[in-house]
Amino acid sequence: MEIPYTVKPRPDTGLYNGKLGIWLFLASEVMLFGALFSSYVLLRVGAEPGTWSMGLMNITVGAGNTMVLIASSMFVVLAWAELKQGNLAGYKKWKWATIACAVLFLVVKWSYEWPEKFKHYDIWLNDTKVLHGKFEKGYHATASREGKSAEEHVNGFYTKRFFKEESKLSNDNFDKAWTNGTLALQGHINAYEEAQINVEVTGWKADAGVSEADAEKVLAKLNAAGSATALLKDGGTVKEKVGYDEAKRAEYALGQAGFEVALRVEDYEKVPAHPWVWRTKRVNEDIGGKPRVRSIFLGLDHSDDGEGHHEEIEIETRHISRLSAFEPKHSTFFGIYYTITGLHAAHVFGGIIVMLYNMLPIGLALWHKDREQFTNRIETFGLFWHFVDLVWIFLFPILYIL
Amino acid sequence: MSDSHDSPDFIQHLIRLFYMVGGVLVAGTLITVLIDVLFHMPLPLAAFIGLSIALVKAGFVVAVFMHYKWDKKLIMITWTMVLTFIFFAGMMGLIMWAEGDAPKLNRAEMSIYWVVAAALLGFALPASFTVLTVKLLSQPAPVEAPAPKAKRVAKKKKR
Amino acid sequence: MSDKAEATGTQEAVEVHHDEHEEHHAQSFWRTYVFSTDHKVIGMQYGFCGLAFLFFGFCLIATMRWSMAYEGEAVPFVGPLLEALLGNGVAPGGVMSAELYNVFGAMHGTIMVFMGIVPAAFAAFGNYVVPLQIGAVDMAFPRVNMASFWAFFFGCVIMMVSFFIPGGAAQAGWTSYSPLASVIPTDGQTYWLIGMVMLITSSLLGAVNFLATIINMRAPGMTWLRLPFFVWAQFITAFLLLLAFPPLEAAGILQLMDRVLETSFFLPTGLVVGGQDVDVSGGGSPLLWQHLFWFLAHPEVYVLILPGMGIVAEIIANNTRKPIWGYKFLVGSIVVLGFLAFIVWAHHMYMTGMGTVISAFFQTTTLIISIPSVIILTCLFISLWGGSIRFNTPMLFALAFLPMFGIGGLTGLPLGFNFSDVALHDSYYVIAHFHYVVAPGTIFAIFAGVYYWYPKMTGRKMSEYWGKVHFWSSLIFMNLIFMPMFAQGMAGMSRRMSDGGATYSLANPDNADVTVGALSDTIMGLNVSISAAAWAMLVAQLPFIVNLFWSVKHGEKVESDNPWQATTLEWETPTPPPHGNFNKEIKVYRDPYEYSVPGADNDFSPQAQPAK
Repeated sequence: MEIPYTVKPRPDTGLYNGKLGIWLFLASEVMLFGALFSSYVLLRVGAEPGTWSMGLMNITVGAGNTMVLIASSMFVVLAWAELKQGNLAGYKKWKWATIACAVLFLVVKWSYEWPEKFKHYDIWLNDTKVLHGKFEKGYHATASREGKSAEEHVNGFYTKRFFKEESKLSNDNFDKAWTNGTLALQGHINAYEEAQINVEVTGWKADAGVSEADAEKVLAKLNAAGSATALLKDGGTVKEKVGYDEAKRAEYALGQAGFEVALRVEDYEKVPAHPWVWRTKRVNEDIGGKPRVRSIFLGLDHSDDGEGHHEEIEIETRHISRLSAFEPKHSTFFGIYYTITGLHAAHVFGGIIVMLYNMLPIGLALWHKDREQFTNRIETFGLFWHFVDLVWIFLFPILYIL
Repeated sequence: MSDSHDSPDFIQHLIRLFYMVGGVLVAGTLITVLIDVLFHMPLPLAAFIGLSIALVKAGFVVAVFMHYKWDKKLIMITWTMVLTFIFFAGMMGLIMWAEGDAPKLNRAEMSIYWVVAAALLGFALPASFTVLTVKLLSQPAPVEAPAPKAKRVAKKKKR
Repeated sequence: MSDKAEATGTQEAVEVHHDEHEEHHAQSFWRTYVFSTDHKVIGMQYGFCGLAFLFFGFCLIATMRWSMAYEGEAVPFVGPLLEALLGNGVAPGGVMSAELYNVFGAMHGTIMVFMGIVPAAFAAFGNYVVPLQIGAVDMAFPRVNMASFWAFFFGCVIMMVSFFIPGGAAQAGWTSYSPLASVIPTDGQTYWLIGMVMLITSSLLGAVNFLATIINMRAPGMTWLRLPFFVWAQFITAFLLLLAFPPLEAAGILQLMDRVLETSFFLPTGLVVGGQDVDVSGGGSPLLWQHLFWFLAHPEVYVLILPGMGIVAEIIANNTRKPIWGYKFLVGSIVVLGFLAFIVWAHHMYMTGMGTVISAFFQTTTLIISIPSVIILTCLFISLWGGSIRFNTPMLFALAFLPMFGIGGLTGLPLGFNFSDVALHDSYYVIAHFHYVVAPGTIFAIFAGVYYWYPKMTGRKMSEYWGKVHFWSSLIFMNLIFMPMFAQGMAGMSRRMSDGGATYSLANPDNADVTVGALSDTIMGLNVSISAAAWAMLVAQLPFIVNLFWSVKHGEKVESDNPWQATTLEWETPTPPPHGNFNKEIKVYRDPYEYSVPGADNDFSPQAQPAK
């Protein structure tokens, strides 16, 4: 029994079975990843303010991996072109290059990118402040209560809680220690401060088409700190230590009234909102040479010898509302990030296995039996591999850049 | 790819094309990163630009690497796939838009832009395929298959 | 191969037989009957598993019906079994606990839909009949076909194993709505999700294979409009599976993440379970699960019904001895049906508060989709007109399909309007509606198909007498089960209550002063009659089961390869068909249903018979 059209395309459909099958399979894959992308969009749009973490990705690594995958995608099609010319040695050369790229991609992801994420954590405090940090010296943290302490290891993945029971105390004891205990943290610990801005007037243009009386009205409306006439003549501080939004509004109103305005950062105050918003450069900006939002280190002695980075800080656990490393449960963003990239990595892994099979004697036997069928098989695999590349092309901007 | 494209000259032509497309893809990635580093733009614009570049890259991969350009007969399968995906993405967009009255969903800033982004996924993708399709249909049919029959088969595949 | 075929076989047939004989020697028992790549063996494997799971799923609901009719009493016969197998905790003293009821309810739905009807109607008949009907030697990818079956089998094993883990199988209903499904502490839901991923993988592989086969393996002359309607139905079904299943796979993976890695894709901010805050990151969306689930599950409804329609069309054409009326209408309708099936899913979600705009949209599409369904049904009805109908068992089942499916479809209209759905949602009315579509609809079609193609599979017919006993008893009890449910549903009885609604009945002293809305004694009394009918239905299946096995050896031998005098290509093969199917070259010269062609020698003109 011979199945028709395994090698030659069927004339009226123009396809051999394998190619038809793989395209249909890719159609279902489009729907699979399409559903995940749609979920990403729906979740992102529906996320409450501050629950979608942004700007935490390492773009360099992401872009590098994109290049690696693009290269592998090119190599696999070159391998097929060599086979088309009957050159098995050339095929092997390009195929090994493809496999090397694929392995590199996975190694970067599994041994660097993800583990690096698991070392970072966020701690949400009850007063809406968030601590962001990275464990450096081991993953050590302690929770203690009434002299008893539970030293625990951070287990990035799979944690029921932030810390995994080691063996010294039972879970119950740890829970007791946790309740009303303290949490000692080491390593880089960041918090964020937002600028307190002084709004200053440096001059007033009489030719702007606004009368002095109107300008004074504007000042009065802004509850200017100094006297209106003095401000009008000599300039001076209109508002002191106000938040960004208020300063911007004042700047606009004053500008409309013909004033020349300067914003100056007077001080910083801890950001009372979620810091994710501030982590991207996109929403940060310079105000008179100083950043609108800056990160500060907690628990550091500010000496530059490097050791100071590991000074311990203690937080009372009752102030903590939630804590999580950058693992799937950290936020919906990380959840979908690990899900999609994990599924993609599984595709890459499957691809590597198929490629290895096609490089081993057992796979190459087909080449010696029927060259055209083997070429078709490589083409079919290539279609799958390009699709994997295609998915990553969309993943990169969606997960890393936006 | 049909047998008419098996000549050594054509393969050489293809290989040159593959290198070029590889270059384009790398350039596209670099441009994406550069834009992100150099310009600070609002999210909707960033989404538009980022996804547009990704779509162009995807178009090149599908057209050249997957030699879709020479596989006219795949048009209907692709259309099926794309149409369903449009439905899915479009419906999701519709849902997001229509759910606007639900208090839980806070998107005062970006509601319309996300609909635009969904529409981009829904329309730009098939649009690129449409351009390709029109271009392909203007090419002569492969030798073995008489043209009218091929068309008929393709038509019936649409569901 | 039957004796008859051997005796009358042509020279070619003998040669084929010889080849087959050699292959038989070359291949072990395991490769021939278990890990076979032959589409017919795989089809029968699917069919056997599918029918077995249909029976098992029915047993589950029969047990549940006891709990609904006589709540708190030990289940007779199976009660001790439940206690022994599942543990004292879930079935103390043989009494069904509410948890066990939930487990059985969720698994009844899952088993019937994903492990019963899809394999039996789509995979079994599709595998066995489609390659034969298009004149192909096998499926396009025989090994993928085998992989598809074993993925299915493995998924089923996981589902079955989940009954015996602590806490039992999934409890959140076959729809597995989050957050309920995500926060249930027992592991059954996790097993369910893993099992579902396996079943989905199986369906995807199967769908790819079917599509490739139908597109690329048609015999010469088998143009698209010469395909039998059953092949068309399978073609559209395969497309639905191919494109609708992946979103559920994505949703399953996300829910698995929710359960295993504690993400909160489907868990909303501020979720409180059992009085305790759940540790969620915030921003999850329970509606997302429903969208992804129903994006599959509505097309799934058409996956369930389309193969049934295909089978019924084949049998009606054959047994009325006249062409199907409006073949092109049927094909057009089924294509449109498949297309529209993708944009109606949210009519299952009117009550979720997703917004009036979206409800209005989906209400419109839902009503539009009833048009092609009605066209199909009308064409099949008109096909009966003026036919010289042979009332054999398959035809009886096919005929019963028509009004039963009609009732199921028409009672769906009030559910499609969102204003009436508000009252009927999640009531027994819904249960009656969709069971009328799938139980006396699809399952009758499956029975019809089994009786119809059995001679091709075995060379013997099933007993007509017991077939008719099976048919009439099934038809009567089926209606006795589901018809009263409409009344119950409209009286306000809600789904998924282990006490059958007793809490909300007038008999409950707590409701003594309730004047409107409590369930009357009459409505509650229907529980008992429905349950009795269900058990009678169970007994009514015994003739079929015995008939199925008994006829393999003792059924009436068929006289030729074409006992029903049908026109389609599967009857051109030897009986039963060998590996490789045809012993002659197949060319197609005719449309699929050329019965009673004026001037022809016989009242049927097979597709492979050259025109004069």
